[in-house]
Amino acid sequence: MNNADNFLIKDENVYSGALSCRGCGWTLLVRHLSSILGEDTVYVVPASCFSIIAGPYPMNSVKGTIVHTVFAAASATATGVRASLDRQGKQASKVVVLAGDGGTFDIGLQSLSGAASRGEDIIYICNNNGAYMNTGVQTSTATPYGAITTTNPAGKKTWPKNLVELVAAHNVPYLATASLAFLDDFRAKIKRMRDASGFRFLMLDSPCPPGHKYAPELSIDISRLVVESKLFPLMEIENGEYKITYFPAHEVPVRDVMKLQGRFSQNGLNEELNDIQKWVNKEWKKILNKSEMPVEK
Amino acid sequence: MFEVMGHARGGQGMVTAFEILSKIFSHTGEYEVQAFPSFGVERTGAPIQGFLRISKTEILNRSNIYNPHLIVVFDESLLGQVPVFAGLHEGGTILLNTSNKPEMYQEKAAVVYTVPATRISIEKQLGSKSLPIVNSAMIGALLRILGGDIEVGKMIIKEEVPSKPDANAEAAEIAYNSLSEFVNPNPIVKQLATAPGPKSIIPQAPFWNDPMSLNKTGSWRMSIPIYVTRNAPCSHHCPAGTQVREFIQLAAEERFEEAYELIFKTNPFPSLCGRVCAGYCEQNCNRADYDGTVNIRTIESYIGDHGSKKEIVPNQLIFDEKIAVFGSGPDGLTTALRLRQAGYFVNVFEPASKAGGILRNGYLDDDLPDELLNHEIEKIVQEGLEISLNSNMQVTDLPADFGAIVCSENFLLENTSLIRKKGEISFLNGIPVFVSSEMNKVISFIETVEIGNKTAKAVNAFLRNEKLVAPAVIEEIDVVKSEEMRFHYYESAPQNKKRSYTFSEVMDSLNGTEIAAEAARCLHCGTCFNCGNCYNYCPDAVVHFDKKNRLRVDYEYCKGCGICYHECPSAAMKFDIIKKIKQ
Repeated sequence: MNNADNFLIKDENVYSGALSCRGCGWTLLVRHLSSILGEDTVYVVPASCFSIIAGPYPMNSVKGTIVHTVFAAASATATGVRASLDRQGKQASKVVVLAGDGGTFDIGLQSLSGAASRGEDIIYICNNNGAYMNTGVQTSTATPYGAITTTNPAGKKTWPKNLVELVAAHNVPYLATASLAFLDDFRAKIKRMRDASGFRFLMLDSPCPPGHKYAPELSIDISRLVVESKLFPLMEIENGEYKITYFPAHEVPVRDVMKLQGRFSQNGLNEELNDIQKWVNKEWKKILNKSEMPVEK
Repeated sequence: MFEVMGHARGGQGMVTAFEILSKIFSHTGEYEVQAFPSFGVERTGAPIQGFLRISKTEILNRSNIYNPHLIVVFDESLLGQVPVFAGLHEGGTILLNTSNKPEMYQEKAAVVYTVPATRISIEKQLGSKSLPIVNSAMIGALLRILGGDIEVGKMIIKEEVPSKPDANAEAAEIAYNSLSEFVNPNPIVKQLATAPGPKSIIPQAPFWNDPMSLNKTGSWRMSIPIYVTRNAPCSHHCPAGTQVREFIQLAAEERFEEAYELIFKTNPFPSLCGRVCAGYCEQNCNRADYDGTVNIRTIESYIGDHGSKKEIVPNQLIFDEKIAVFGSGPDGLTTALRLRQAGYFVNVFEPASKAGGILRNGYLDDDLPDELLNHEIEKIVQEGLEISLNSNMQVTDLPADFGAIVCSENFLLENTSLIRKKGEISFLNGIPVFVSSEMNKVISFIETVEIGNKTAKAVNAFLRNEKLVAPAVIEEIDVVKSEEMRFHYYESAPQNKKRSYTFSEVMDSLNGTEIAAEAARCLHCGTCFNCGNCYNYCPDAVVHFDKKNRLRVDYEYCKGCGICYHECPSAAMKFDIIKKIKQ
């Protein structure tokens, strides 16, 4: 059987032995990302799980250059790296920010906003697993409604920040969301970003077995259901034009996804499930409306 | 002051266990306590250390513990990986989570305790299969050793654990009562080994860009994913044992001749079988639960019609014995064919003017077109059979130079004494008689063919003086069930409804391309079809092709997350806990 095309990664640019948990979304994300971007890439990593996964100096789990930086300054550091590479004539080298949701939604937001407004030529990847997982699951502004964290032991009672709209408001040339369960879609978006220029932003819904509290083998299954239930729509915004890249094939109620994760296991959430479902439907409708809006070319 | 050092894996709850213990001891106000982990990366499954100090006076020391009075090992598999006993205080005590007896570790310390905490936690359903959470059980065992109050312990455990408070408290109590102790009568006083600092994997001489692969994460693994080939329901339920999954695969690649050969090995009538068989394969097809079964019978009949070779060269005759087969029904012809293929001269005696037996004059005669039957029988005869039509040869008249007689019961009506029980062979004029199908017993077409296969085996075994190997009795045969399949990885493709149920069909109602497309709907239950999921979804890049081009897992680095197993669409992987927990 000649099914070589089914094996998506041709150039493996990560090393086995990385310090990630079992079933980690970060490592799978970087495995695919690095196989597409190649070795001539500088990864700028603010404080996050990936600071650990990449390995202690002088070790490296990715073929490429890693610049570790502080929480608040990932985009600023990337700006500097880009400027330096340009000065050296290395325009072909890619600069990629690999940040978690804490380093993007909260602490790194002003830096991100600045770089996006300036139109820096960098790729920004946000691995959104909905909490500060590296430090032991504290709430971030990306944490979904109802999720238990160590700082919200009874479950979070506010809605997560809509960062996609926030970044889109900077009028960036390319912005997308992706999921590890939909690898073809995810890889196609990475390739678009590789071949484009300007400030490109990708947010990935990332599975996290210890933080979301489920058995690690379910990582991909849960990621898939999250998209199927419209909790995390797959879309892209190119020059202001919205496009939904995956329309869920089956109706999956959010209840079915949430019951698989221990972080939604608290008593009392059942009564709020209707509200959560309504909110999800409303958010989907918003994107749907925008994607159907004609844009003057 | 009493100092405790613990070794565990990230995720087993040791840090929480030490915190709870400190709360239990400080509860009465009698003790000062300290509990903290060693600073470093804590990742699920990675080896970690934790510390606990209990004292009646104020504790001023805030450093790590290097010479503990008690060393606790939460995970047995750490023994071979980390120097867990290094630094133990003279006359010190160890506690291991294991089902083994404490005597096994008597060289390690003056006093040895063991507790089967993993077994207790699995019984109480704490944690998951890939990582049982053993901390509550270990608290129970530690309370017993340290002389703590189990009732206070249970109360504080219930307050502190995030879920299943009762199960956790019960686990602690069971462990409290199932602790095994061994006091070494002549403790070997060893020079205190100095406890090493955190084991460094950073090389001494700094150089840039060392791959992380120096870090062997395979030691984190609790369960192991393995590639397996399992039984498909179609093949498993075929009475003749035809390799249905395999011939469907060949058909999908339009390799109809090879598919024909494969079916022919167990069933020489593919054209007929595809039309008349009850279809146990289709009845059990897992795709029925998705978008309709694979149209296996139509594929088989197409292979029968189009896959046979134009020229057939009979096998060489090897043996001297001649075999007489009475009757040319499906069982007789199959027996004759198998024996001829094995190298015997076979003569088939048929009283009628055409070969076919029950196929001509039995249940199929109204519909069965002659050309179809002739095609099938012709292919079998061409393998080198001698057929005597219009024969009035009787079983009793057979010349003595025949080595064996094969016939169905109705050829023995006047000699019913020759019909013996299974396993016994009767003789007629010194010639052994093998009875194939029984009289007046209605069985399906494919079962009749299988009787032919089995009779041939019995004849050959007798003549060659070999023992028939009885198939091994397996208590439960592992067949892939529908619920193990991951249907969402298969493109939905409704069944091609065109069928060859009756003989009034227009022949060639489906062409080769359509047949291949229908065969391509096969889900490959229980076997790898190179979909790539295990490779694409592996977070740790440990799935690869070996030298024989088979997919394999690199166990040196595999952390045992189980994603490959869980995302395998065709259930061709297994994921089991490495060490069977001793009951």
